[in-house]
Amino acid sequence: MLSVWGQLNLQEGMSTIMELMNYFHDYMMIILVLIMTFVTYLFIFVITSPRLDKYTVDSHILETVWTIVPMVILLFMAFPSLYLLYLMEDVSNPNLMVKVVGHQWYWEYQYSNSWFNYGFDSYMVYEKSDSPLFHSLDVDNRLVLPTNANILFLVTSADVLHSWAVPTLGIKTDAIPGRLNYLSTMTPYSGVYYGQCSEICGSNHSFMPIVLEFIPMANYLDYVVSLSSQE
Amino acid sequence: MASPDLIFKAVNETANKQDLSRYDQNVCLDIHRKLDSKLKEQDLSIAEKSVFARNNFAVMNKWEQVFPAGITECLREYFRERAIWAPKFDPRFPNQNQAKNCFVNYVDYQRCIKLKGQDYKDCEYFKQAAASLCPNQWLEKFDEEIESNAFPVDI
Repeated sequence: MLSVWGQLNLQEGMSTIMELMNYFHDYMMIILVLIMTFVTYLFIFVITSPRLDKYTVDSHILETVWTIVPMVILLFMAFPSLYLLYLMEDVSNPNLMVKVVGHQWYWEYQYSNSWFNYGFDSYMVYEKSDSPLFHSLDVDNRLVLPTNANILFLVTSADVLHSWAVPTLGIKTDAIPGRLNYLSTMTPYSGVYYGQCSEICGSNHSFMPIVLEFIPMANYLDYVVSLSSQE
Repeated sequence: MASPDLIFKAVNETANKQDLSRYDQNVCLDIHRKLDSKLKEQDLSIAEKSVFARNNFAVMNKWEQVFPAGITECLREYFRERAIWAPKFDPRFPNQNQAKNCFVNYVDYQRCIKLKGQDYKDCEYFKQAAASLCPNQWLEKFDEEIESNAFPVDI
């Protein structure tokens, strides 16, 4: 998934967490639009209506109501928010760990498991405008991953601050030298997902994109076996 | 190396007199446990277990011809989960920064091989955990520091 010109909403959620975040965002938007409509109506009423009581000094009932009602609205906003926040703090055991190292100005990915250790660099592809590849988004080597697997990304940097983000999966974390930040994601959908470096890191900060390619587990294992046999 | 006979034995010992055409959670859990215990008897390393699972997952279409649908689904799930090994969640390091997790596993591996020798099988867990968690650049740096006696921690 990637952003399109004139896009107003978030990108479509391809991971379970991002789908829930989109639902939550839509729910909050409904509440906020209702509040804004109500406040706008009151504002116009106060300015234009001839039936406004100009001699009201105080009203305890009014003050009580306009304290209790916002409190109830906030409760309706807080419960789903905290539910989603704690759901994001997932501690399930990962099926696959991928290390992501940020460099100036490319990403390096390392798969390591008990029978396989493979690392590669992912540079942006500089193409002419008539190329079928997406401008300043496509890379030479995509990060290939399996669907329906809990994937743990461990993100760090080799030089300056970077940030590894893939908006359609709802993941973003800073790549800080000396730290190893983790990110967990799972997607049931195959596809190609794009992201960009999200922390200023020098002249080519805008030109170090991230491309993930999700394929079914059987195909992923064949791919990894073919890589290991090439080494 | 584990052989396919292992799978036949595990399935036959657990799934007697059951309706196997559908996936049954309880039968499946029994099969998983039986397979785990049989693999443990074989005393395979982590890498060998993963390769066994990977190879069997690759030939699932052949297992489909041998076993009924319920058992095949169960076996597919078993091999899929074990084809790639990753260390489990470590509650000593619940926060976002896993640098200490990587470092501690590396130190534990070095201490294990120093105490028990290079070929001691149980040290493999720490080695695999460090290899999964630590970026290759960090592992190379740690190895150099150990060789030049400049590692920050006593092994």
